[in-house]
Amino acid sequence: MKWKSDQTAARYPDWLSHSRGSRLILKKEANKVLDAKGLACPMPIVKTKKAMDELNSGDILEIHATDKGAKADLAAWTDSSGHELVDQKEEDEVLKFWIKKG
Amino acid sequence: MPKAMSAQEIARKVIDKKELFILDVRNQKEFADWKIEGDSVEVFNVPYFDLLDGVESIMDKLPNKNVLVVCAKEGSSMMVADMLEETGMTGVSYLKGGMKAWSEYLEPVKVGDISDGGELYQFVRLGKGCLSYMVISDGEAMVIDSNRMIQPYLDFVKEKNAKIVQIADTHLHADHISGGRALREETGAQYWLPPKDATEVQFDYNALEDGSEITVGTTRVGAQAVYSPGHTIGSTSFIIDSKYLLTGDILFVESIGRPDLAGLTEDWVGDLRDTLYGRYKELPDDLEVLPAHFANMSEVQDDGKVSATLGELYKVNTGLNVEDEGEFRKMVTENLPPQPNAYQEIRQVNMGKLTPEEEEKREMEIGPNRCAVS
Repeated sequence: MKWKSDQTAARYPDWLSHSRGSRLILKKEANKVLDAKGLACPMPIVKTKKAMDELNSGDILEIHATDKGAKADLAAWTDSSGHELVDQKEEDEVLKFWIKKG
Repeated sequence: MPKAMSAQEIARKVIDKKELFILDVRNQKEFADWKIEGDSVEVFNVPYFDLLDGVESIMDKLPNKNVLVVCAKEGSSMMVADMLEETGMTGVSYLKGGMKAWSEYLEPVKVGDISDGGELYQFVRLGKGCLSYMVISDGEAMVIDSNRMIQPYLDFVKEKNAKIVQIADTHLHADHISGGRALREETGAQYWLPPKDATEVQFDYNALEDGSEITVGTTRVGAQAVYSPGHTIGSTSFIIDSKYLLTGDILFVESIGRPDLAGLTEDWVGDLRDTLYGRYKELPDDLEVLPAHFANMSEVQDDGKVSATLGELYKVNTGLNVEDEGEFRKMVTENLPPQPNAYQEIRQVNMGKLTPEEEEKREMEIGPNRCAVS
């Protein structure tokens, strides 16, 4: 089947992204969404860790947070705990992260 | 329950050189950027997010009691302090308000008396290396190089039964947000700024120029302005009571000011040289130099004061002892430390061009001071 760009867009909305090696990959949709908005440090990470513990290797957790400190801390935590921060962005003052369980 | 330790208590410990063990649980990058320092302070860093499963892995790195846990705001340090206490450790505390509170705490230290009555105080911002000043005479006060947090000055004058009538900045600051305008709104005092630094400011001010005399108190204690460009084109020093020389960001105890924070490095190197090797050299050797910053805890004396006589600095400060002009130029333009956090935005705020929320202002100021050459 021939893929058209609009079909791609329709079928794979905003979780279509480029991997670090610039190879186009289809990111798996989040298996779980964690709402950590309004929570102050350390709760966003405490909750993230708890949610990750309940997922399987390769699963993706999507996190929404408003604590600015979460940005650097989540990135550093994913690194040190063997997971992968697949993507992150800021939308309407909400920080969004996608972390793949290692 | 772990005890909440205030920034003020920690400041006293640092100044009095009391033993203090700190477990800093911020991420490594923030820790590398700045931390609580002092001769008697020992610090160990492990991010809180590496301790979520327990603190057992670090217990052998900690003393068996009296550990102060520190984080950015407070929450994570409370969590880790709880965990430490659960292991049976005693004397566990956390920094109330976190590094944010540490960054904002001002310790007032008396510099000395002023003849004809009156006193001069230095407000030491240990967490950021900023120094500001207050002259008090006959119920009137003048604040110089005010920090963003104005409450400590207001509380202090109240305690001294005085009223702030004069405010001045030695230059347009790039490392911290000036509290000058906020203080003026609160007190109705006169606010003095060097016009050459203020060409773009969006508010009224009194022109602080070479030879300006500012009066505080009925004893007519004067702050005499001395034009001393180099860190900025408008940088102006104050001589108070023929005893004290407030050098702003031109001359520090162990270093000299950097000329690159307003984008005109090459133009200002010559000014800096002229001020340090010309104008200042003509001043009396026994003036007590009081800078607007310090970079190392070694610059803080036993009583908490940061100062030295001008004569002493001409002997020991390496920045004042570079005979060759080319070498001097090289020293102040090459190998400079990174620029202060958000310094361009901070300058805009101080000009009145940007008016961020309090929380944003706070974020801009986070991190160490870097106004010196080395």
